[in-house]
Amino acid sequence: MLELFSYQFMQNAFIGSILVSILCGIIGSYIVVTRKVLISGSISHASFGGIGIAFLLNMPPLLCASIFSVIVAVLIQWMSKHLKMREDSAIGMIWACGMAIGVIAIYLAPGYAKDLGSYLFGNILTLSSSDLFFSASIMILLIIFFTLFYKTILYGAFDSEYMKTRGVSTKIIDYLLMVLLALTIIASLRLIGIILIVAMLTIPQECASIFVKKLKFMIYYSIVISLIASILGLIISFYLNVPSGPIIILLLILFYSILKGLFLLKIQIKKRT
Amino acid sequence: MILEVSNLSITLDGITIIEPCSFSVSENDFIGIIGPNGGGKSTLIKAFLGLIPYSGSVNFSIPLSHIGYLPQFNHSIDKRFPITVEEIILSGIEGITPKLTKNEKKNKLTHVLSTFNLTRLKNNSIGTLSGGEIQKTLLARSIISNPKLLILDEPTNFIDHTSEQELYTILKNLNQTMAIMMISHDLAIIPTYIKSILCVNKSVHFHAGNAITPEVLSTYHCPVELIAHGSFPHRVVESHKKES
Ligand SMILES: Nc1ncnc2c1ncn2[C@@H]1O[C@H](COP(=O)(O)OP(=O)(O)OP(=O)(O)O)[C@@H](O)[C@H]1O
Ligand SMILES: [Mg+2]
Repeated sequence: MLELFSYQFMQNAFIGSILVSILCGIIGSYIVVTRKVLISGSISHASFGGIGIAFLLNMPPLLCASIFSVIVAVLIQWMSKHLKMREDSAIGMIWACGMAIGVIAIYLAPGYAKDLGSYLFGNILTLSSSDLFFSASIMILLIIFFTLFYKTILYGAFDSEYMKTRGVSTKIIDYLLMVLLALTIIASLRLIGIILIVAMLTIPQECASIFVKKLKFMIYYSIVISLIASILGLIISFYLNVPSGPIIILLLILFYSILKGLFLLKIQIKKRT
Repeated sequence: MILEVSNLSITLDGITIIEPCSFSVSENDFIGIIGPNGGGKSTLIKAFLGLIPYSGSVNFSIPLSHIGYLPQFNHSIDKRFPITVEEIILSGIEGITPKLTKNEKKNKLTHVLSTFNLTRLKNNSIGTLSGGEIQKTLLARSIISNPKLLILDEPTNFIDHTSEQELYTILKNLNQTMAIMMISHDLAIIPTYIKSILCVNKSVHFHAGNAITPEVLSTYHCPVELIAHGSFPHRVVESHKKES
């Protein structure tokens, strides 16, 4: 077992999964309670456009994807407020548009985009220390942001119109949260992948939501649940030699099924007695 | 004077909802806002509160944070949101300056919790509450800041008969220290609680005093009809007739 840690890439992967668990635990709770799950799916898929452009222009993929997905996130927030269109249609358009840009860019890019699969599904072998540094910086930003503005985030997420009548505008905070969501998605790409990241933002939160009464605790529990799943997932993916992302997601789904099952059982027992 | 409205009109998507109107609200006023469904009552107060664009002028002599507000329906509230009764009520003192100390917050919270019989529910999450309990929570949220002006949009929605009487008594007491504007479809309360009336049905008419007859209401475009409410006949504002 200890041999695992003798590999540099495994050490990076473990540190990476701790960072990703904290990142996704925090921002995912906001996403779930404000019902922005599809928006995060849209941003993560659209970030593929950024990766395609990076291959085409021979730029650093994560940098390019970050810029691209931040623009997409801000655009979605703006569209849902200012264009009178159905939010889910806007989400669907952006989602497909980003993927389409990515595919075309990759076709046009010279040579073979060899680690494309690792962006789509995550690959623990690819986590470099600069990736970790990037994730750690976003994490610090996110923690500071949530500590400073927790109340405004909570009340705004619950009833933003009412907060407006208290003279507290949540507009800027909403935009910043979307930017932080986009950066979180990019920070998690290497470990989880574009296609699966939405699960990291929702399943731990849904597990937590079985017990919690407060947003704060949803965040704490989600982090713990993600940590357990991602560390276990890493170990399994190492021994089975399969991508880390799908294993972590399947573990999370297993956790959710068990927790929900136990919860329903508890209700049944309560009813009988 | 707390609120001075002059030449306010509201147009949404090219449709006139409220025609130009002027009126004012002073300390200790208790204004009943009546009118048929779709008359524009909710829209009017949302405009004061800056939630809806309008033309004309709305001047408050108090900051926004000194206004208490209860929105019309609590259906739009997400019952799956992880938030407790206590947290919801405390959101009513956001925006207040100078910031309250922890102790002041706690005292205010304890007070409004007991005012609305919510003390035993304070740590419950919103998902476990009934419609009436949510309404009481939102009422508590609207008054916790000790506002100078309290604006209530159909406060008795979801509220049972006993609690309704209690609520009016609470409002009567609060009215000694704050002005109240209350949207209601219950005309029976006018003689006992309301001091003046605002009739809203696209046009807005202010009526000083609470002595009002169905004939006068009719000239204000708020005709009254008698309906059976339980076993009591009951006066309500006639519902909106489609204009041909
Ligand atoms: N965003 C909007 N765009 C266009 N029209 C609107 C909008 N919001 C409300 N309206 C219209 O404005 C009118 C007034 O609505 P409002 O909710 O203010 O009525 P109300 O007097 O509060 O009625 P009720 O007694 O049913 O609560 C209605 O005809 C409604 O259809
Ligand atoms: Mg209304």
